[in-house]
Amino acid sequence: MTVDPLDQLVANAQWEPDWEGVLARVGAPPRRLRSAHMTRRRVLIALVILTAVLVPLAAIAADSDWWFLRSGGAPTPSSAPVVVKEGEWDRKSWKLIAYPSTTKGLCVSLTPNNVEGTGAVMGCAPILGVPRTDQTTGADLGITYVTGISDAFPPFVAGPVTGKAETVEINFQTGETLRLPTFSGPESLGDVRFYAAQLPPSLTSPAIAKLVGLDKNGIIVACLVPIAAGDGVPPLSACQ
Amino acid sequence: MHASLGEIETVYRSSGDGFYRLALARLGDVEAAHDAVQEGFARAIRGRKSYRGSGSIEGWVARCVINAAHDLGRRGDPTKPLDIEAVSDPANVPDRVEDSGVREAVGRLPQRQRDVLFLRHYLDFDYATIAASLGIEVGTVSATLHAARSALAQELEEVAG
Repeated sequence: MTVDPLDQLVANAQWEPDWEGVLARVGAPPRRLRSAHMTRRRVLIALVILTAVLVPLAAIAADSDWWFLRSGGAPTPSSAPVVVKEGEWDRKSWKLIAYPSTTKGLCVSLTPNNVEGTGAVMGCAPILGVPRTDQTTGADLGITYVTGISDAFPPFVAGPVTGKAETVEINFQTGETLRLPTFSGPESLGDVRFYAAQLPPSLTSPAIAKLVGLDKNGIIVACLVPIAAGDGVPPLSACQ
Repeated sequence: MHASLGEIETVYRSSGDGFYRLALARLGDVEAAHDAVQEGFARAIRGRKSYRGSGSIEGWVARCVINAAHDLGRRGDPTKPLDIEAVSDPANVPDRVEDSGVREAVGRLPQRQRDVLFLRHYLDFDYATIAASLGIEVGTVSATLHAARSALAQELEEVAG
């Protein structure tokens, strides 16, 4: 049987659809989360996860019984999740957890310490300073974020940033600015720091215009401009 | 009339495989091909208000994917004949499609002929859709396709020696 030459060019083609990845590129919330937000489901409500893919969670053997590893589809950990920080906002305690994944870079979750996990979020992205595996897809980012809004937990923003950043500045689309210190994580995760903050009550919308990581001298070492679908603005244009 | 997110997603799910094969044929690298498809669809979403309803959405999205593949390909065009030393050691060329003879022949075709050929072969586009994708006349598609097939057949004969 003669094989068409053009089929020879793509003989080993194995297409793996990733629509959520397309949405992440344009900064749109994953479709499942939008509907979770609109129907006010309690289990998981996250407003925007930039270039971090929130996927159905898979039951994966792990040292701890984390919610994101209990139900189908989470990126496979390449090492066990670790608690980076614990805190409390409005007398509601939370944990910031992170783990390196085999394919999606660093996965970060902010998980309230309530039984149902209401208000918990998780996102993953390759981060500058965090070792990649040979299966990691996507370019490294200097900074990214997750935000959460729910009825049962204070609104917040959190995420990883390259290890050189001592401060993170977040510009919201309302014109307000939040400036946060970063904190270190376990060395096992790599040269990466983190930030987490409750959003001020005055903030009417958590829609983020720009995130910047600054070193001890105030020099920008990380920058990201989220873009809404249809915006047409190149993601890093405001950072250059 | 604009393209909706749902319509673009429908194209992604129904034709993503074809777009991927087109990008892989164009770029010769599985990761770059995946990147081109993802970026192409992202561009379609960002620019969906620019779709005016002339021609199919699929053809309009194809233009976004082709442009994304073109931008990625400017970093190094693997459809051009590969360096012989690199090809002789496949271990040095990860994720490359090992078909240097066909790739070499296709690489010598003019870009327009390659685009028409790929849209026809990998996505089974009709002439009108190809014309809309590439911004050319339908008659030009027919002539270009004929020329591409003839040229490729001749190139393959030369490669086979």
